[in-house]
Amino acid sequence: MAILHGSWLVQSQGGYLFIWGETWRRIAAGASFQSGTVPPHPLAMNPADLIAYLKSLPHLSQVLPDDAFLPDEGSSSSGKTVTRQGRKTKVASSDRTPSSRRWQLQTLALPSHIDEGNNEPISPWHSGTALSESTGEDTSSWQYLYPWQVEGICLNSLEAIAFLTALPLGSVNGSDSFLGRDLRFWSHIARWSIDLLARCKFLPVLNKSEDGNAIARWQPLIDSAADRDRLQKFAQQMPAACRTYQGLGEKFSDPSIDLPLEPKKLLLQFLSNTIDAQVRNVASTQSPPATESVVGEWLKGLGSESGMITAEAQAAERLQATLNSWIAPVQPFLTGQSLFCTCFKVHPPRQGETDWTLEYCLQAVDDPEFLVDAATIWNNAVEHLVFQGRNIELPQETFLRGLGLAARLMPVIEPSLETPSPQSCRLNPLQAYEFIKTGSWRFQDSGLGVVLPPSLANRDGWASRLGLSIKADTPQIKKNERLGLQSLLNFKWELSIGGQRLSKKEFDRLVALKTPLAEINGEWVELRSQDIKAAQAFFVSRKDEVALSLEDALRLGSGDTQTIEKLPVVSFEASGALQELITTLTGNKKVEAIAVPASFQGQLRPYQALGAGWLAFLERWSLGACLADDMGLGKTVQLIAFLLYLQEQNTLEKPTLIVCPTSVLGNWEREVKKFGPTLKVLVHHGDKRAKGKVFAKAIEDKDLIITSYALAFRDAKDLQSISWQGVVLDEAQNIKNPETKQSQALRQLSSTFRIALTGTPVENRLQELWSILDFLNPGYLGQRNFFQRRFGIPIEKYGDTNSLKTLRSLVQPFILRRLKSDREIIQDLPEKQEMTVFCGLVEEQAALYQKLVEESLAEIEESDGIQRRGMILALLVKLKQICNHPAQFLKEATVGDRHRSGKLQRLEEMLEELILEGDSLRNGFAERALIFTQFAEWGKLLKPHLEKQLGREVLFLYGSTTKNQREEMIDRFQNDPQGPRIMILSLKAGGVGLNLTRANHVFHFDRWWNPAVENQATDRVFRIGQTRNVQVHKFVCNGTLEEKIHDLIESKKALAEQVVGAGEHWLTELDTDQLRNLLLLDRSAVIDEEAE
Amino acid sequence: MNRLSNIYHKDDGAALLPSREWWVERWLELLDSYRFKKRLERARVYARQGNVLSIDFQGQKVFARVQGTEIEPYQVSIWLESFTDEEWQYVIETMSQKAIFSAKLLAGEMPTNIEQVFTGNGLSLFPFRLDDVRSQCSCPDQANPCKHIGAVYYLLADRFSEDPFVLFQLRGRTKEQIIEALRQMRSRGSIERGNKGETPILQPQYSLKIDHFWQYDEPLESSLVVIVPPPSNETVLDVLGNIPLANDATKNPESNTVSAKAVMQYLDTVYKAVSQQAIISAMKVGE
Repeated sequence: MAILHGSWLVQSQGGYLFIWGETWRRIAAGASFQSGTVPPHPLAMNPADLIAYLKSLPHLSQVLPDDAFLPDEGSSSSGKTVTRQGRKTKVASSDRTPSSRRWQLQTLALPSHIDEGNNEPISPWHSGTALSESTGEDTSSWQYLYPWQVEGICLNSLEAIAFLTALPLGSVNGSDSFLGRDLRFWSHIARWSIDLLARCKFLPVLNKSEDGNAIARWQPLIDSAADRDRLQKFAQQMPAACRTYQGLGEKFSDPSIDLPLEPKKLLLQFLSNTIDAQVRNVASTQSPPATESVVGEWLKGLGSESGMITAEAQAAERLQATLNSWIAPVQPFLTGQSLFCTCFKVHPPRQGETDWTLEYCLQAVDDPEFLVDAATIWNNAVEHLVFQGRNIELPQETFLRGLGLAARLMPVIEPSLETPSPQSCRLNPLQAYEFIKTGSWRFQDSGLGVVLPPSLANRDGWASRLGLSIKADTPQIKKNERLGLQSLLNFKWELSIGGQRLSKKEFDRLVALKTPLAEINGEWVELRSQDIKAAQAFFVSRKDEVALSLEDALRLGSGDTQTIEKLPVVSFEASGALQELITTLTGNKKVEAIAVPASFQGQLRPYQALGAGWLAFLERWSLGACLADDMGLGKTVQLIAFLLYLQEQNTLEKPTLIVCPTSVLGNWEREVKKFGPTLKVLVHHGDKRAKGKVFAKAIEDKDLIITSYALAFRDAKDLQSISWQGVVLDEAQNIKNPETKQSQALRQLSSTFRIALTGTPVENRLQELWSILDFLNPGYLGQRNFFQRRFGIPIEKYGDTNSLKTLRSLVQPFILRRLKSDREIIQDLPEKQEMTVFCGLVEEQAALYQKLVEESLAEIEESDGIQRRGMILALLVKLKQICNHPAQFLKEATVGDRHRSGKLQRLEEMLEELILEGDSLRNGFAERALIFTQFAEWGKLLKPHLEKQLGREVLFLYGSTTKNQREEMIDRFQNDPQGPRIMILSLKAGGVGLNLTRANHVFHFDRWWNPAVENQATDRVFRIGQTRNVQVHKFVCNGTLEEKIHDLIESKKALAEQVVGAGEHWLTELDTDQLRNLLLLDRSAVIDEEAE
Repeated sequence: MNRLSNIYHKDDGAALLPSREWWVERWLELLDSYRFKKRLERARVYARQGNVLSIDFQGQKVFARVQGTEIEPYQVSIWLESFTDEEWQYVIETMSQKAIFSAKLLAGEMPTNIEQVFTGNGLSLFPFRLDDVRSQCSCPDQANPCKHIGAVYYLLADRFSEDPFVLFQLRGRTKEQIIEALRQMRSRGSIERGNKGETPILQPQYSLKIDHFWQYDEPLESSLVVIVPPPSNETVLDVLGNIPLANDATKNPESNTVSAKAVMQYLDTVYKAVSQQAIISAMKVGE
């Protein structure tokens, strides 16, 4: 993995985008460090690596010029031929000035840390190292900027735009993103530059170059309020990394650092160059009017590559003067540096008058609330005015210039300027309306400020519009009747405008006034003709036919704007039970935790009781719920508690169906039996499962039926014939593709409530979100196509936060997602959370296991003494191998693609989930896992398999790893921000002297049955420096000796520790019958592969 | 003056500007009042044929080099009677009575009724008669204006159109001097002067935060998500109006000089093409 970086570098003429790559490697101690020269950045990619990396990103490499893939031979003077845009051009590298060379060495000042006890006294921080993750080190050790040399590619303006616009615009994708934040920043600026072009915010000018040549150029025009805001905002947000380039590396010999560039200047430079290049590019395809005059030359120059004009100096100067006088009205906006602008404040008429007042003042560009009134300006004929702590340059001139421009845009204000110190002008109602409707936009677009009365300001908003004000409540329902999303509500409507109720009479009076602006109870509002028409139509016709469903109410309640019969709903008020529902769903009122049901066995943490309460709340309203807590927070337990709660309330009348991946069937059964023994459970699985009428009969008296996704489709007919109390999907990401047959079949099941459990960050995966929500609450998010258009594309392609906000508020009522890192959750969780993961055996494993046990027991029975003990121990090892994977037992070369191990399948699922969790976090706290096994040969099989399945590097540390490799691995795991997040360790090698505190998950894939050894391994991550809770997952195969030993240890902990304490030797003391009981396979735990 | 300045009644492209600004018109009228039409015509031909090699504004005088029959070009100088400091003082005072004058000057526009300011003070920005224009030519011709001077007169019309403020300059003040004098005038009546001991609060400008060195987590600004054409067809070209290119003071209709209108039409095509292309490329992002 690597990160691309880059920034715009300013040149005396033009400038370019410089891109380079950063990777992670261990800084070898004692590397040469010559004083007096700028050292090469130890983490920077060399040209060959960077080229290879760029080639691996096809969407980027295709927009890069071809010669970017040919590193310069530095000072080599031989010319070389480069193909660009189909043409062959001879490029002699010696002819190119250093600044125009494609590949360059740049010096860049970077935060660096000094380690005095090391041979390598100073090194730069990796850009992905978040401060928060630097193990709480004293940040003062960061406070050095030190110059480093990096080698990279230079792109001219057009190439830069092509490159930057090819970068993804969506939001940051976790710590694996290849895109440095500095480049991401520039990609946003490139987007802005395109927006400026789309809105024609540029002007042709004539400049004089340093050597006296006349150059025709295009200049960006930063005049509109929006663009000046952006300039301000982007300047504030520019990452420091964009500002500390020090120039060409070769020239630099003194390790001192230049002051950082001023962000605004850098931004304007970038815009000026890229806008010029892009407009020029378009202009070159147009043909200007033919003429021999200097004007003609200028027009030609505007479309030529160099922009150079051949004309007499005098003629050029004349044209320059002419153009200057032409652009004089907007001249201040070409530099983008104005801090104040003339502002026009609209005041409604005073009592008894009809004329509006337009007040003149000055407004701070970066703070629209900061106004300087005309009287103050006129009283201060100075060059600098300090007003409320701000320095205003040439206040009167700035003010007057704005008035001059305004008079040009709207001559109606001109008469007011016939006095020495004008402060305002009057507008008749029509003029006022015109100004509010179109003039204000025009003013703001031309660099003038406008302040409208609040009730008129938000022209896109609905609040002040004419619309419906609705009061709703739930209808009376009979006992045992339930409301659903589609249930119709009782509601009353009234016409309202500007927050005021309107009677029909008042409405008619307003309409009769025939004015576009009306005053209602002291507030001025706009009456839009289309709203009036809609309202009239509403009155006349279908007011009685309008229906409002609970779903409509939820949308209105969550702020999603709606119209009813073309009339906007401007206010919505819920009362009674509906109000409670809406305030709870929108998160304004907390759901109550359930009281722990008496039949619940075990500990229900407070957040879990809350989660169960949340499920119960949604169930009361027949709303589908998605419980999306992080892995390890106990979703299963919460569901069991919820079902027990229903049982306690006597509302658990029909069976509930749980659909889960085959790999966790056994786990579910165990958990239900453990936490909710009063729930009658049936696992519907295996070739002996009930079918048809037998099935209906079999489930009659059951509370809970557990089945797999595969069977949910295969036995769809049987399952669909049942009227379920609830349908619960565990690992609901399994239906992320709504087109699959499984997914379709599940949607056909009829039930009173639906619940989805998932640990993946469902909110960030829109198709999955839609699919799950559509299962839970069909139709709520609209058709899939609509959803994709309305949310999918804007959010995923452009990272549109507005659409994301709307979507979040729509789905938020139905998703409960809590993270391990949430403060309230952390309080409830122990620092080390141990969980047993029960997995099944697949048929192949079971057959091998059974055969081996039978054969070995026979042999063991006939032997004794040391030989017997040896045979037992060997048998145990082999059985463990089978539980791990048949490939290990059979000594095969690879694991293969087929599912041949319940454990491995479960491990893959869990790793996938935690990688997704980590990706969704933005703070660099990616999830990291250690996997312990006692078999080095298993590690060798597992590593390539996981790498292939997960598409990322996995580390493997075992006895034969050399000291150097070992250190490198640990260093990468602990320090590389983009480093591998999974490390396999053999229990023996991993047991000593390692510090792997960055991991927060520990998997014990196979078991030593020696808590001391396992704890020692687990404690690799529990060293000083561990700041997060750690989850320990211990894998156990159902129905095998693993489960039996596990149960033995759990049930007789004290005794077991005595017995087991010494390891596995106690097993060798068992007699054959005991041994048989322990080893015999429980067939019911076998996952029926045929059923898949 | 009509600079497409009315937001309520947008002119269409055909009505872009009258062909001449009023001050150019005034100047040409002045020339037309000259009695010797023949000589005037010869001067016009001279101007059109490019015999005027250079025109320079130096202080209050116009210096020009005109190619005559001799090898060395003739030296022509033209000037107007400067107003005295006192006269300017009156003018400034009158101008300060109406903010519109300062406003227009600052916005780079020649106020329409500027002439009234001068006439109100018994002065005239423009000479009333050609006799009021002083001129000298190094040619042997005794008549004034000779055709060399006349040729420069014609070209001056262009210059006035390109930069109307040279008129002020010829009367002894640059635009900047007038703007400065206007401020001084205002400050005389100003109640408060300077800052009441208040010092500006220095706002920290873009300090370099090392611990946020690489940080930029902002989502794309929502207004940049969907890039659309501007809500109005008007562009900055409409706000600024035609480029005040000299066009027809000396020209006959077949002249190959581009008209301001043709230039603006061309620019308008470029603007539309750029905008369209930008919108298309904005939609292609990430594909």
